[in-house]
Amino acid sequence: MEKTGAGVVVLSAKEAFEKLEKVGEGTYGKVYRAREKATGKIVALKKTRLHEDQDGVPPTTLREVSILRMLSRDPHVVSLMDVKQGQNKEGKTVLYLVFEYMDTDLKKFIRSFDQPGQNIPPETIKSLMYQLCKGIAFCHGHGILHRDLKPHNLLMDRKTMMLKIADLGLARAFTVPIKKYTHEILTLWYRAPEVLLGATHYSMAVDIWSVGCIFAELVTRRALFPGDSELQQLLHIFRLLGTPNEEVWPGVSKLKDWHEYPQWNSQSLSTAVPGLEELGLDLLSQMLEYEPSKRISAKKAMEHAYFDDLDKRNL
Amino acid sequence: MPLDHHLFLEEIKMAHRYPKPLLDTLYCLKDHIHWEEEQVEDDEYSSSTTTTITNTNTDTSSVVFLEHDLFWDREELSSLLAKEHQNQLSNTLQKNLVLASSRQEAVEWILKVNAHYSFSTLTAVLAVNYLDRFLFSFRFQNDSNNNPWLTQLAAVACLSLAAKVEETHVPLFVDLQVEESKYLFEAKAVNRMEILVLSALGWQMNPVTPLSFLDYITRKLGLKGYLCLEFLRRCETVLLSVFAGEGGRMLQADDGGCVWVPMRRENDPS
Repeated sequence: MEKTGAGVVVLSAKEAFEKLEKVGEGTYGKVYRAREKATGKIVALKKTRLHEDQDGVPPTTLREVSILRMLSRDPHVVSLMDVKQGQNKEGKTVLYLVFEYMDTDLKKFIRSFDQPGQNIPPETIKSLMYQLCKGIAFCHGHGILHRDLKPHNLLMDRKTMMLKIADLGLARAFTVPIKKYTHEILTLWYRAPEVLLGATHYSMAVDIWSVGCIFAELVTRRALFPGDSELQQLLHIFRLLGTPNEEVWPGVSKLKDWHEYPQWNSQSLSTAVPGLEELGLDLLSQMLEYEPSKRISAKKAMEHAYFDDLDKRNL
Repeated sequence: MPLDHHLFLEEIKMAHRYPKPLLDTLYCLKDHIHWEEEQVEDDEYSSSTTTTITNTNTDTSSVVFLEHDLFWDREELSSLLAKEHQNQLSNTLQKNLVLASSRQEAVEWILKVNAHYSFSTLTAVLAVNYLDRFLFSFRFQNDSNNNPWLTQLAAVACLSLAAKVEETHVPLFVDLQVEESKYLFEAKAVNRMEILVLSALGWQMNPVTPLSFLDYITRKLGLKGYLCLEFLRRCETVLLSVFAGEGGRMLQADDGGCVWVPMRRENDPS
Protein backbone atom coordinates (compact mmCIF):
# COMPACT_ATOMS: atom_id res chain seq x y z
CA MET A 1 0.00 0.00 0.00
CA GLU A 2 1.18 3.46 -0.82
CA LYS A 3 2.68 5.02 2.30
CA THR A 4 1.38 8.33 3.55
CA GLY A 5 4.67 9.47 5.09
CA ALA A 6 6.24 12.49 3.44
CA GLY A 7 9.33 11.83 1.39
CA VAL A 8 9.03 8.05 1.20
CA VAL A 9 9.93 6.79 -2.24
CA VAL A 10 7.56 4.09 -3.45
CA LEU A 11 8.53 1.84 -6.31
CA SER A 12 6.05 1.82 -9.15
CA ALA A 13 4.40 -1.46 -10.00
CA LYS A 14 6.57 -1.87 -13.06
CA GLU A 15 9.77 -1.45 -11.13
CA ALA A 16 8.66 -3.66 -8.24
CA PHE A 17 7.57 -6.71 -10.25
CA GLU A 18 8.74 -8.75 -13.19
CA LYS A 19 5.82 -10.09 -15.22
CA LEU A 20 6.34 -13.74 -16.06
CA GLU A 21 3.23 -14.72 -18.00
CA LYS A 22 -0.41 -13.83 -18.48
CA VAL A 23 -2.57 -16.38 -16.70
CA GLY A 24 -6.07 -14.99 -17.11
CA GLU A 25 -8.36 -12.30 -18.35
CA GLY A 26 -11.33 -10.85 -16.47
CA THR A 27 -14.00 -8.23 -16.98
CA TYR A 28 -11.76 -5.31 -16.12
CA GLY A 29 -8.32 -6.55 -17.08
CA LYS A 30 -5.63 -9.16 -17.16
CA VAL A 31 -4.07 -11.37 -14.52
CA TYR A 32 -0.33 -12.06 -14.58
CA ARG A 33 1.98 -14.40 -12.76
CA ALA A 34 4.84 -12.21 -11.59
CA ARG A 35 7.90 -12.13 -9.36
CA GLU A 36 8.45 -9.44 -6.75
CA LYS A 37 11.99 -8.26 -7.42
CA ALA A 38 12.81 -7.33 -3.84
CA THR A 39 11.87 -10.70 -2.35
CA GLY A 40 11.74 -13.14 -5.27
CA LYS A 41 8.22 -14.07 -4.21
CA ILE A 42 5.80 -15.26 -6.88
CA VAL A 43 2.51 -13.31 -6.90
CA ALA A 44 -0.55 -12.82 -9.05
CA LEU A 45 -1.04 -9.31 -10.43
CA LYS A 46 -4.55 -8.33 -11.35
CA LYS A 47 -4.44 -5.28 -13.56
CA THR A 48 -7.27 -2.76 -13.78
CA ARG A 49 -7.01 0.18 -16.12
CA LEU A 50 -8.66 3.40 -15.01
CA HIS A 51 -10.13 5.60 -17.71
CA GLU A 52 -9.47 9.12 -16.54
CA ASP A 53 -12.12 10.56 -18.80
CA GLN A 54 -14.68 8.17 -17.38
CA ASP A 55 -15.91 7.71 -13.87
CA GLY A 56 -13.02 6.48 -11.87
CA VAL A 57 -12.50 3.28 -9.95
CA PRO A 58 -14.91 0.54 -11.10
CA PRO A 59 -17.37 -0.55 -8.40
CA THR A 60 -16.29 -4.18 -8.74
CA THR A 61 -12.66 -3.32 -8.04
CA LEU A 62 -13.63 -1.07 -5.16
CA ARG A 63 -15.84 -3.70 -3.55
CA GLU A 64 -13.36 -6.50 -4.09
CA VAL A 65 -10.44 -4.66 -2.52
CA SER A 66 -12.43 -3.31 0.39
CA ILE A 67 -13.96 -6.67 1.16
CA LEU A 68 -10.64 -8.48 0.85
CA ARG A 69 -9.16 -5.97 3.26
CA MET A 70 -11.77 -7.15 5.76
CA LEU A 71 -11.38 -10.85 5.07
CA SER A 72 -7.70 -11.50 4.45
CA ARG A 73 -7.15 -13.02 7.89
CA ASP A 74 -8.90 -16.23 6.90
CA PRO A 75 -6.70 -18.97 5.38
CA HIS A 76 -9.51 -19.90 2.99
CA VAL A 77 -9.91 -16.48 1.39
CA VAL A 78 -7.27 -15.43 -1.11
CA SER A 79 -4.84 -12.95 0.38
CA LEU A 80 -4.59 -9.46 -1.12
CA MET A 81 -1.06 -8.35 -0.33
CA ASP A 82 -1.00 -4.86 -1.78
CA VAL A 83 -2.60 -2.37 -4.12
CA LYS A 84 -0.26 -0.43 -6.36
CA GLN A 85 -0.88 2.41 -8.73
CA GLY A 86 1.14 2.70 -11.89
CA GLN A 87 1.07 3.86 -15.48
CA ASN A 88 0.98 1.84 -18.66
CA LYS A 89 2.89 2.52 -21.88
CA GLU A 90 0.43 5.19 -22.94
CA GLY A 91 0.75 6.98 -19.62
CA LYS A 92 -2.69 5.91 -18.42
CA THR A 93 -3.26 5.16 -14.75
CA VAL A 94 -3.38 1.46 -13.91
CA LEU A 95 -4.15 -0.28 -10.65
CA TYR A 96 -2.40 -3.52 -9.75
CA LEU A 97 -3.90 -5.78 -7.11
CA VAL A 98 -1.15 -7.99 -5.71
CA PHE A 99 -2.40 -11.42 -4.64
CA GLU A 100 -0.71 -14.49 -3.28
CA TYR A 101 -0.20 -16.86 -6.21
CA MET A 102 -2.19 -20.09 -6.37
CA ASP A 103 -1.20 -22.48 -9.11
CA THR A 104 -4.61 -23.80 -10.11
CA ASP A 105 -8.34 -23.48 -9.58
CA LEU A 106 -11.06 -25.99 -8.84
CA LYS A 107 -12.32 -25.97 -12.42
CA LYS A 108 -8.93 -27.03 -13.78
CA PHE A 109 -8.54 -29.51 -10.94
CA ILE A 110 -11.85 -31.22 -11.73
CA ARG A 111 -11.01 -31.33 -15.43
CA SER A 112 -7.65 -32.94 -14.71
CA PHE A 113 -9.55 -36.12 -13.75
CA ASP A 114 -10.49 -36.73 -17.35
CA GLN A 115 -10.16 -40.49 -17.81
CA PRO A 116 -13.34 -42.59 -17.76
CA GLY A 117 -13.87 -43.96 -14.29
CA GLN A 118 -11.22 -41.68 -12.82
CA ASN A 119 -12.86 -39.88 -9.91
CA ILE A 120 -11.61 -37.42 -7.34
CA PRO A 121 -10.81 -39.41 -4.17
CA PRO A 122 -13.62 -39.16 -1.59
CA GLU A 123 -11.26 -37.90 1.12
CA THR A 124 -10.07 -35.12 -1.20
CA ILE A 125 -13.66 -34.11 -1.92
CA LYS A 126 -14.40 -34.03 1.79
CA SER A 127 -11.36 -31.89 2.57
CA LEU A 128 -12.09 -29.41 -0.22
CA MET A 129 -15.74 -29.15 0.79
CA TYR A 130 -14.84 -28.54 4.42
CA GLN A 131 -12.44 -25.76 3.43
CA LEU A 132 -15.09 -24.22 1.18
CA CYS A 133 -17.71 -24.27 3.96
CA LYS A 134 -15.19 -22.81 6.38
CA GLY A 135 -14.23 -19.97 4.02
CA ILE A 136 -17.88 -19.16 3.29
CA ALA A 137 -18.76 -19.29 7.00
CA PHE A 138 -16.00 -16.74 7.57
CA CYS A 139 -17.34 -14.46 4.80
CA HIS A 140 -20.91 -14.72 6.07
CA GLY A 141 -19.77 -14.17 9.64
CA HIS A 142 -18.31 -10.86 8.46
CA GLY A 143 -21.46 -9.85 6.63
CA ILE A 144 -20.15 -10.62 3.15
CA LEU A 145 -22.08 -12.42 0.42
CA HIS A 146 -19.91 -13.78 -2.38
CA ARG A 147 -22.70 -14.15 -4.95
CA ASP A 148 -20.54 -15.69 -7.68
CA LEU A 149 -19.23 -18.95 -6.30
CA LYS A 150 -18.14 -21.38 -8.99
CA PRO A 151 -15.20 -23.74 -9.46
CA HIS A 152 -13.26 -21.14 -11.46
CA ASN A 153 -13.35 -18.72 -8.50
CA LEU A 154 -11.97 -21.25 -6.03
CA LEU A 155 -8.18 -21.23 -6.16
CA MET A 156 -6.12 -24.23 -5.15
CA ASP A 157 -2.56 -25.16 -4.33
CA ARG A 158 -1.89 -28.53 -5.94
CA LYS A 159 0.76 -29.59 -3.44
CA THR A 160 -1.04 -28.75 -0.22
CA MET A 161 -4.60 -29.21 -1.50
CA MET A 162 -5.50 -25.91 0.13
CA LEU A 163 -8.54 -24.16 -1.30
CA LYS A 164 -9.15 -20.40 -1.25
CA ILE A 165 -12.13 -18.29 -2.21
CA ALA A 166 -11.32 -15.62 -4.77
CA ASP A 167 -12.86 -13.13 -7.18
CA LEU A 168 -14.99 -11.09 -4.83
CA GLY A 169 -15.81 -8.43 -7.40
CA LEU A 170 -19.50 -9.21 -7.11
CA ALA A 171 -19.39 -9.70 -3.36
CA ARG A 172 -21.38 -7.37 -1.17
CA ALA A 173 -21.47 -6.39 2.44
CA PHE A 174 -25.05 -6.97 3.50
CA THR A 175 -26.87 -4.81 6.01
CA VAL A 176 -30.54 -4.21 6.63
CA PRO A 177 -32.62 -2.95 4.94
CA ILE A 178 -31.28 -4.51 1.78
CA LYS A 179 -32.07 -2.54 -1.31
CA LYS A 180 -32.91 -4.11 -4.61
CA TYR A 181 -29.79 -5.12 -6.47
CA THR A 182 -29.44 -5.03 -10.20
CA HIS A 183 -29.96 -8.33 -11.89
CA GLU A 184 -26.27 -8.64 -12.56
CA ILE A 185 -24.97 -11.35 -14.82
CA LEU A 186 -23.96 -14.32 -12.72
CA THR A 187 -22.92 -17.75 -13.87
CA LEU A 188 -26.20 -19.55 -14.43
CA TRP A 189 -25.22 -23.05 -13.37
CA TYR A 190 -24.61 -22.14 -9.73
CA ARG A 191 -27.45 -19.64 -9.34
CA ALA A 192 -30.03 -20.18 -6.62
CA PRO A 193 -33.66 -20.72 -7.69
CA GLU A 194 -34.92 -17.70 -5.77
CA VAL A 195 -32.57 -15.50 -7.79
CA LEU A 196 -33.70 -17.14 -11.04
CA LEU A 197 -37.31 -16.46 -10.02
CA GLY A 198 -36.62 -12.76 -9.62
CA ALA A 199 -36.05 -12.35 -5.90
CA THR A 200 -33.95 -9.23 -5.45
CA HIS A 201 -33.40 -9.90 -1.78
CA TYR A 202 -30.14 -11.80 -1.58
CA SER A 203 -29.44 -13.73 1.56
CA MET A 204 -26.57 -15.93 2.65
CA ALA A 205 -28.53 -18.86 1.27
CA VAL A 206 -27.68 -17.95 -2.34
CA ASP A 207 -24.04 -18.83 -1.65
CA ILE A 208 -25.00 -22.12 -0.02
CA TRP A 209 -26.91 -23.18 -3.12
CA SER A 210 -23.76 -22.57 -5.16
CA VAL A 211 -21.74 -24.59 -2.66
CA GLY A 212 -24.17 -27.48 -3.09
CA CYS A 213 -23.82 -27.37 -6.88
CA ILE A 214 -20.03 -27.39 -6.53
CA PHE A 215 -20.24 -30.34 -4.10
CA ALA A 216 -22.15 -32.43 -6.64
CA GLU A 217 -19.73 -31.44 -9.39
CA LEU A 218 -16.75 -32.61 -7.33
CA VAL A 219 -18.34 -36.05 -7.12
CA THR A 220 -19.52 -36.45 -10.72
CA ARG A 221 -17.04 -34.12 -12.49
CA ARG A 222 -19.99 -32.60 -14.39
CA ALA A 223 -22.12 -29.58 -13.60
CA LEU A 224 -25.26 -30.59 -11.71
CA PHE A 225 -27.56 -28.04 -13.42
CA PRO A 226 -25.98 -26.96 -16.74
CA GLY A 227 -28.67 -24.62 -18.09
CA ASP A 228 -28.04 -22.32 -21.04
CA SER A 229 -30.83 -19.85 -20.28
CA GLU A 230 -32.62 -18.79 -17.13
CA LEU A 231 -35.66 -20.83 -18.04
CA GLN A 232 -33.58 -23.89 -18.89
CA GLN A 233 -31.69 -23.45 -15.63
CA LEU A 234 -34.95 -23.56 -13.69
CA LEU A 235 -36.20 -26.57 -15.63
CA HIS A 236 -32.97 -28.44 -14.91
CA ILE A 237 -33.49 -27.80 -11.22
CA PHE A 238 -37.19 -28.68 -11.23
CA ARG A 239 -36.60 -31.96 -13.09
CA LEU A 240 -34.36 -33.19 -10.30
CA LEU A 241 -35.82 -31.59 -7.18
CA GLY A 242 -39.44 -31.48 -8.35
CA THR A 243 -41.37 -28.39 -9.41
CA PRO A 244 -41.76 -26.29 -6.26
CA ASN A 245 -45.16 -25.29 -4.92
CA GLU A 246 -46.51 -23.33 -1.97
CA GLU A 247 -46.38 -26.44 0.16
CA VAL A 248 -42.63 -27.12 -0.13
CA TRP A 249 -41.67 -23.44 -0.59
CA PRO A 250 -44.14 -20.97 0.94
CA GLY A 251 -44.18 -17.75 -1.08
CA VAL A 252 -42.64 -19.18 -4.24
CA SER A 253 -45.63 -18.38 -6.46
CA LYS A 254 -45.45 -14.70 -5.47
CA LEU A 255 -41.90 -14.25 -6.74
CA LYS A 256 -41.69 -11.77 -9.58
CA ASP A 257 -40.69 -14.17 -12.37
CA TRP A 258 -42.84 -17.08 -11.31
CA HIS A 259 -45.24 -18.54 -13.83
CA GLU A 260 -46.67 -21.96 -14.72
CA TYR A 261 -44.08 -24.70 -15.19
CA PRO A 262 -44.27 -28.36 -16.15
CA GLN A 263 -44.96 -30.39 -13.02
CA TRP A 264 -42.20 -32.80 -12.10
CA ASN A 265 -41.89 -35.01 -9.07
CA SER A 266 -38.61 -34.92 -7.21
CA GLN A 267 -35.99 -37.56 -7.96
CA SER A 268 -33.59 -39.07 -5.49
CA LEU A 269 -30.33 -37.10 -5.32
CA SER A 270 -28.43 -40.37 -5.49
CA THR A 271 -29.51 -40.77 -9.13
CA ALA A 272 -27.87 -37.45 -10.04
CA VAL A 273 -24.85 -37.84 -7.76
CA PRO A 274 -24.01 -41.55 -7.79
CA GLY A 275 -21.09 -42.55 -5.62
CA LEU A 276 -21.65 -40.02 -2.84
CA GLU A 277 -22.03 -41.63 0.58
CA GLU A 278 -25.29 -41.37 2.49
CA LEU A 279 -24.10 -38.62 4.85
CA GLY A 280 -22.84 -36.61 1.89
CA LEU A 281 -26.21 -36.93 0.18
CA ASP A 282 -27.90 -35.70 3.34
CA LEU A 283 -25.65 -32.63 3.52
CA LEU A 284 -26.14 -31.98 -0.19
CA SER A 285 -29.92 -32.17 0.16
CA GLN A 286 -29.80 -29.55 2.92
CA MET A 287 -27.70 -27.26 0.70
CA LEU A 288 -30.21 -27.65 -2.13
CA GLU A 289 -33.26 -26.95 0.01
CA TYR A 290 -35.72 -24.87 -2.01
CA GLU A 291 -36.82 -22.56 0.78
CA PRO A 292 -33.87 -20.21 1.42
CA SER A 293 -34.54 -19.93 5.14
CA LYS A 294 -34.38 -23.71 5.51
CA ARG A 295 -31.15 -24.12 3.57
CA ILE A 296 -28.30 -25.13 5.86
CA SER A 297 -25.86 -22.39 6.87
CA ALA A 298 -22.15 -22.71 6.17
CA LYS A 299 -21.41 -22.84 9.86
CA LYS A 300 -23.91 -25.65 10.45
CA ALA A 301 -22.59 -27.47 7.40
CA MET A 302 -19.13 -27.61 8.97
CA GLU A 303 -20.70 -29.45 11.93
CA HIS A 304 -22.48 -32.00 9.74
CA ALA A 305 -21.68 -35.67 10.39
CA TYR A 306 -20.34 -36.01 6.82
CA PHE A 307 -17.16 -34.27 8.06
CA ASP A 308 -16.83 -36.27 11.28
CA ASP A 309 -14.05 -38.54 10.03
CA LEU A 310 -12.09 -35.71 8.37
CA ASP A 311 -8.77 -34.77 9.97
CA LYS A 312 -9.31 -31.03 10.41
CA ARG A 313 -6.10 -30.16 12.21
CA ASN A 314 -4.45 -28.51 9.21
CA LEU A 315 -7.60 -26.99 7.73
CA MET B 1 -40.52 -3.24 30.48
CA PRO B 2 -36.74 -2.94 31.07
CA LEU B 3 -36.40 -1.71 27.49
CA ASP B 4 -38.88 1.12 28.03
CA HIS B 5 -37.11 2.07 31.22
CA HIS B 6 -33.71 2.37 29.58
CA LEU B 7 -35.09 4.31 26.64
CA PHE B 8 -36.68 6.74 29.08
CA LEU B 9 -33.37 7.30 30.85
CA GLU B 10 -31.65 7.88 27.54
CA GLU B 11 -34.36 10.35 26.64
CA ILE B 12 -33.64 12.41 29.75
CA LYS B 13 -29.91 12.41 29.09
CA MET B 14 -30.38 13.48 25.53
CA ALA B 15 -32.79 16.29 26.39
CA HIS B 16 -29.78 18.52 27.01
CA ARG B 17 -28.07 17.64 23.77
CA TYR B 18 -30.60 17.40 20.97
CA PRO B 19 -33.36 19.61 19.59
CA LYS B 20 -36.98 18.78 20.35
CA PRO B 21 -37.86 17.26 16.95
CA LEU B 22 -35.26 14.63 17.66
CA LEU B 23 -36.80 13.92 21.05
CA ASP B 24 -40.18 13.56 19.39
CA THR B 25 -38.67 10.95 17.14
CA LEU B 26 -37.10 9.21 20.11
CA TYR B 27 -40.40 9.28 21.96
CA CYS B 28 -41.97 7.53 18.99
CA LEU B 29 -39.33 4.83 19.29
CA LYS B 30 -40.71 3.99 22.71
CA ASP B 31 -44.26 3.84 21.38
CA HIS B 32 -42.93 1.80 18.52
CA ILE B 33 -42.62 -1.23 20.76
CA HIS B 34 -46.42 -1.21 20.95
CA TRP B 35 -46.89 -0.10 17.37
CA GLU B 36 -49.75 -2.41 16.53
CA GLU B 37 -51.89 -1.02 19.34
CA GLU B 38 -51.11 2.67 18.94
CA GLN B 39 -50.94 3.17 15.20
CA VAL B 40 -52.98 6.39 15.18
CA GLU B 41 -50.94 7.97 17.95
CA ASP B 42 -47.78 7.09 16.07
CA ASP B 43 -48.94 9.01 13.04
CA GLU B 44 -49.35 12.14 15.14
CA TYR B 45 -45.80 11.97 16.40
CA SER B 46 -44.40 11.18 12.96
CA SER B 47 -45.88 14.37 11.56
CA SER B 48 -44.18 16.46 14.22
CA THR B 49 -40.70 15.36 13.19
CA THR B 50 -39.25 18.33 11.36
CA THR B 51 -36.04 16.90 9.99
CA THR B 52 -35.67 17.91 6.36
CA ILE B 53 -33.86 14.79 5.29
CA THR B 54 -35.94 11.64 5.33
CA ASN B 55 -35.41 8.52 3.32
CA THR B 56 -38.86 6.98 3.00
CA ASN B 57 -38.41 5.22 -0.31
CA THR B 58 -37.89 1.73 1.01
CA ASP B 59 -39.86 -0.68 -1.12
CA THR B 60 -41.67 -2.73 1.51
CA SER B 61 -42.57 -5.56 -0.84
CA SER B 62 -38.96 -6.29 -1.66
CA VAL B 63 -37.75 -6.48 1.92
CA VAL B 64 -38.88 -9.76 3.38
CA PHE B 65 -36.53 -10.88 6.09
CA LEU B 66 -35.83 -14.56 6.24
CA GLU B 67 -34.95 -16.53 9.31
CA HIS B 68 -31.34 -16.63 8.12
CA ASP B 69 -31.24 -12.87 8.07
CA LEU B 70 -32.14 -12.82 11.74
CA PHE B 71 -29.11 -14.96 12.47
CA TRP B 72 -26.82 -13.44 15.07
CA ASP B 73 -23.95 -14.54 17.20
CA ARG B 74 -22.86 -13.75 20.70
CA GLU B 75 -19.45 -12.79 19.30
CA GLU B 76 -20.91 -10.47 16.70
CA LEU B 77 -21.38 -7.46 18.96
CA SER B 78 -17.88 -7.70 20.41
CA SER B 79 -16.56 -8.09 16.86
CA LEU B 80 -18.31 -4.87 15.82
CA LEU B 81 -16.96 -3.05 18.87
CA ALA B 82 -13.42 -4.25 18.21
CA LYS B 83 -13.59 -3.14 14.59
CA GLU B 84 -15.03 0.21 15.61
CA HIS B 85 -12.11 0.77 17.95
CA GLN B 86 -9.76 0.47 15.00
CA ASN B 87 -11.63 3.31 13.32
CA GLN B 88 -11.36 5.80 16.17
CA LEU B 89 -11.25 9.34 14.86
CA SER B 90 -9.03 11.93 16.46
CA ASN B 91 -10.02 15.26 17.96
CA THR B 92 -7.87 17.22 15.55
CA LEU B 93 -10.84 18.60 13.63
CA GLN B 94 -12.21 20.43 16.62
CA LYS B 95 -9.00 22.43 16.86
CA ASN B 96 -9.05 23.47 13.23
CA LEU B 97 -11.94 25.88 12.78
CA VAL B 98 -11.34 26.55 9.11
CA LEU B 99 -11.39 22.85 8.33
CA ALA B 100 -14.44 22.31 10.55
CA SER B 101 -16.33 24.93 8.59
CA SER B 102 -15.55 23.49 5.18
CA ARG B 103 -16.24 20.01 6.50
CA GLN B 104 -19.71 21.08 7.63
CA GLU B 105 -20.44 22.53 4.20
CA ALA B 106 -19.22 19.30 2.61
CA VAL B 107 -21.40 17.16 4.89
CA GLU B 108 -24.46 19.26 4.11
CA TRP B 109 -23.72 18.91 0.41
CA ILE B 110 -23.41 15.13 0.73
CA LEU B 111 -26.76 14.88 2.51
CA LYS B 112 -28.51 16.99 -0.14
CA VAL B 113 -27.19 14.92 -3.03
CA ASN B 114 -27.98 11.74 -1.12
CA ALA B 115 -31.59 12.88 -0.77
CA HIS B 116 -31.74 14.06 -4.39
CA TYR B 117 -30.88 10.61 -5.72
CA SER B 118 -32.76 8.74 -2.96
CA PHE B 119 -29.58 6.97 -2.00
CA SER B 120 -29.73 4.83 1.12
CA THR B 121 -28.87 6.13 4.55
CA LEU B 122 -25.88 3.81 4.52
CA THR B 123 -24.51 5.59 1.46
CA ALA B 124 -24.64 8.91 3.33
CA VAL B 125 -23.08 7.41 6.44
CA LEU B 126 -20.29 5.82 4.41
CA ALA B 127 -19.57 9.04 2.48
CA VAL B 128 -19.24 11.08 5.68
CA ASN B 129 -17.10 8.36 7.25
CA TYR B 130 -14.72 8.42 4.27
CA LEU B 131 -14.57 12.23 4.32
CA ASP B 132 -13.75 12.35 8.02
CA ARG B 133 -11.09 9.68 7.82
CA PHE B 134 -9.57 11.38 4.77
CA LEU B 135 -9.53 14.80 6.42
CA PHE B 136 -7.55 13.32 9.28
CA SER B 137 -5.02 11.52 7.14
CA PHE B 138 -1.54 12.96 7.39
CA ARG B 139 -1.05 14.82 4.16
CA PHE B 140 -4.44 16.37 3.63
CA GLN B 141 -4.67 18.43 6.82
CA ASN B 142 -1.90 20.80 5.87
CA ASP B 143 -3.19 21.44 2.37
CA SER B 144 -6.79 22.14 3.26
CA ASN B 145 -6.14 25.49 4.93
CA ASN B 146 -4.86 26.96 1.70
CA ASN B 147 -7.28 25.22 -0.65
CA PRO B 148 -10.86 25.10 0.66
CA TRP B 149 -12.00 23.66 -2.66
CA LEU B 150 -10.09 20.48 -1.81
CA THR B 151 -12.61 19.61 0.89
CA GLN B 152 -15.46 19.93 -1.60
CA LEU B 153 -13.58 17.85 -4.17
CA ALA B 154 -12.98 15.24 -1.47
CA ALA B 155 -16.71 15.29 -0.70
CA VAL B 156 -17.57 14.56 -4.33
CA ALA B 157 -15.06 11.72 -4.45
CA CYS B 158 -16.26 10.29 -1.12
CA LEU B 159 -19.90 10.33 -2.15
CA SER B 160 -19.02 8.72 -5.47
CA LEU B 161 -17.06 5.99 -3.71
CA ALA B 162 -19.86 5.40 -1.19
CA ALA B 163 -22.39 5.11 -3.99
CA LYS B 164 -20.17 2.62 -5.81
CA VAL B 165 -19.87 0.49 -2.69
CA GLU B 166 -23.54 0.54 -1.79
CA GLU B 167 -25.82 1.64 -4.64
CA THR B 168 -26.87 -0.28 -7.72
CA HIS B 169 -26.81 2.76 -10.01
CA VAL B 170 -24.14 5.40 -9.68
CA PRO B 171 -24.52 8.74 -11.48
CA LEU B 172 -21.65 10.10 -13.53
CA PHE B 173 -19.25 12.44 -11.74
CA VAL B 174 -20.75 15.49 -13.45
CA ASP B 175 -24.33 14.41 -12.71
CA LEU B 176 -23.40 13.77 -9.09
CA GLN B 177 -22.71 17.47 -8.62
CA VAL B 178 -26.37 18.46 -8.73
CA GLU B 179 -26.60 20.61 -5.63
CA GLU B 180 -25.43 24.18 -5.44
CA SER B 181 -21.75 24.48 -4.67
CA LYS B 182 -19.03 27.05 -5.22
CA TYR B 183 -17.09 24.62 -7.37
CA LEU B 184 -17.77 22.24 -10.24
CA PHE B 185 -15.10 19.63 -10.84
CA GLU B 186 -14.38 17.80 -14.07
CA ALA B 187 -14.28 14.01 -14.22
CA LYS B 188 -10.50 13.86 -14.37
CA ALA B 189 -10.11 15.73 -11.08
CA VAL B 190 -12.66 13.56 -9.26
CA ASN B 191 -11.00 10.46 -10.70
CA ARG B 192 -7.65 11.44 -9.24
CA MET B 193 -9.19 12.41 -5.91
CA GLU B 194 -10.89 9.00 -5.72
CA ILE B 195 -7.50 7.30 -5.94
CA LEU B 196 -6.05 9.66 -3.36
CA VAL B 197 -8.91 8.98 -0.93
CA LEU B 198 -8.65 5.22 -1.45
CA SER B 199 -4.93 5.25 -0.77
CA ALA B 200 -5.32 7.41 2.31
CA LEU B 201 -8.01 5.10 3.71
CA GLY B 202 -6.08 1.93 2.89
CA TRP B 203 -8.97 0.84 0.65
CA GLN B 204 -10.98 -0.02 3.75
CA MET B 205 -14.38 1.07 2.54
CA ASN B 206 -16.67 -1.12 4.64
CA PRO B 207 -16.15 0.38 8.10
CA VAL B 208 -18.30 -0.29 11.12
CA THR B 209 -20.98 2.42 11.19
CA PRO B 210 -23.97 3.18 13.42
CA LEU B 211 -26.04 1.19 10.95
CA SER B 212 -23.94 -1.90 11.66
CA PHE B 213 -25.18 -1.78 15.24
CA LEU B 214 -28.75 -1.15 14.13
CA ASP B 215 -28.42 -4.19 11.92
CA TYR B 216 -27.36 -6.27 14.92
CA ILE B 217 -30.07 -4.87 17.20
CA THR B 218 -32.81 -5.45 14.66
CA ARG B 219 -31.86 -9.08 14.34
CA LYS B 220 -31.54 -9.47 18.10
CA LEU B 221 -35.00 -8.02 18.63
CA GLY B 222 -36.32 -10.37 15.98
CA LEU B 223 -38.28 -7.60 14.28
CA LYS B 224 -39.81 -8.62 10.99
CA GLY B 225 -41.86 -7.12 8.23
CA TYR B 226 -43.25 -3.63 8.55
CA LEU B 227 -42.27 -3.35 12.21
CA CYS B 228 -38.64 -3.80 11.26
CA LEU B 229 -38.85 -1.24 8.48
CA GLU B 230 -40.51 1.34 10.72
CA PHE B 231 -37.90 0.79 13.42
CA LEU B 232 -35.07 1.22 10.95
CA ARG B 233 -36.64 4.23 9.26
CA ARG B 234 -36.88 6.07 12.57
CA CYS B 235 -33.36 5.17 13.61
CA GLU B 236 -32.07 6.37 10.26
CA THR B 237 -33.99 9.63 10.69
CA VAL B 238 -32.34 10.13 14.06
CA LEU B 239 -28.89 9.50 12.64
CA LEU B 240 -29.39 11.87 9.72
CA SER B 241 -30.66 14.50 12.15
CA VAL B 242 -27.44 14.18 14.12
CA PHE B 243 -25.53 14.77 10.90
CA ALA B 244 -27.60 17.74 9.88
CA GLY B 245 -27.94 19.32 13.29
CA GLU B 246 -24.37 19.14 14.52
CA GLY B 247 -22.12 19.38 11.52
CA GLY B 248 -19.07 19.88 13.64
CA ARG B 249 -19.52 16.72 15.61
CA MET B 250 -17.86 13.47 14.63
CA LEU B 251 -20.34 10.70 14.01
CA GLN B 252 -19.34 7.68 16.03
CA ALA B 253 -20.78 4.25 15.48
CA ASP B 254 -22.48 4.28 18.86
CA ASP B 255 -24.57 7.28 17.89
CA GLY B 256 -26.98 4.45 17.37
CA GLY B 257 -26.63 4.16 21.13
CA CYS B 258 -30.03 5.50 22.18
CA VAL B 259 -31.22 2.18 20.88
CA TRP B 260 -28.03 0.24 21.37
CA VAL B 261 -27.21 1.04 25.00
CA PRO B 262 -30.33 -0.66 26.39
CA MET B 263 -29.44 -3.83 24.55
CA ARG B 264 -25.91 -3.80 25.86
CA ARG B 265 -27.19 -3.32 29.39
CA GLU B 266 -29.49 -6.26 28.97
CA ASN B 267 -26.53 -8.35 27.91
CA ASP B 268 -24.38 -7.33 30.87
CA PRO B 269 -24.03 -10.11 33.46
CA SER B 270 -24.40 -7.66 36.35
